[in-house]
Amino acid sequence: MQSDKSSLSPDCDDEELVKGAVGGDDSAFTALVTRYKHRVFRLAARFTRSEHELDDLSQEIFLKVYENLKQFRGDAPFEHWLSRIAVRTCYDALRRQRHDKRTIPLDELAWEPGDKRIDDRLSAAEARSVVMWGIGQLKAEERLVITLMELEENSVKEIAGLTGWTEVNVKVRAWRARKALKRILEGTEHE
Amino acid sequence: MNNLSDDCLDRLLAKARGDLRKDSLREDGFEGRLMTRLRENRRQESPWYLWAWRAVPLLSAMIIMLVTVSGVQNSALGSDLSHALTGGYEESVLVSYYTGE
Repeated sequence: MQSDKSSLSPDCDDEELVKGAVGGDDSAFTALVTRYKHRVFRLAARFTRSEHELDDLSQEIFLKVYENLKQFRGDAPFEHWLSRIAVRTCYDALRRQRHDKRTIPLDELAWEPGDKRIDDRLSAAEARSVVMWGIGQLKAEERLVITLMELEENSVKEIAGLTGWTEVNVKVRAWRARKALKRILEGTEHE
Repeated sequence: MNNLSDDCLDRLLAKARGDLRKDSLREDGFEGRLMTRLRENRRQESPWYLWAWRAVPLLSAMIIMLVTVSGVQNSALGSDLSHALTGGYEESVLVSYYTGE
């Protein structure tokens, strides 16, 4: 039976809130969502193209967290466990989009593939648009690894933990992703 | 063709990293929307025993029908049997009469 009334304070630690949520206390789960939604939104924003998609993907992540709460054993901090689910859900979303490479239209960018002054004359916002456009052309696994490594600044070890890939695999994929991104930005991708 | 150096790519990525998207407006009221969707999912995935309760009238009707049909069949079989037995007795009496046994 689900309940909206809770004896748990929102200041409780994560494990108590998880126990409450597993026991059917919806407000305990809501407290967890409030605590971690910013982190989830920040990550999901790297893989989505609109606010609507961002909201949908963030909801999908928290629904998966809810479905799997019983499997949380507390071996690692809840935040790490949630991050793993978030990364895998984002990866699944990227794979679904693989035939749908809609990104920012090229003519809306203040840049053209092969532009020699690529990093000099672009503002931070423009650089972000260019990078997101380039990353949008990559394969799902390349997109995931380069986002986690270059934009979220995770280490190889952290990415291995988040994705379930080996560290060697992460390094190889990151190297390939960078190479592919360079080719795209050089404008030589289709040559 | 322009060769983009690793250094140049690093600078571009660093610049892009510095321009984090502002907090999404979608974060406001997110919990409400999420819980609405969660409740909707729960409604759609109602447990099997709720469906079992809903099937009770149908199952009862099927049981009543089966009992009725088997009752009718049993009574029909019973009358056929007595008829067969009676018919057989009458036939043996006739045979005894004609053969003088």
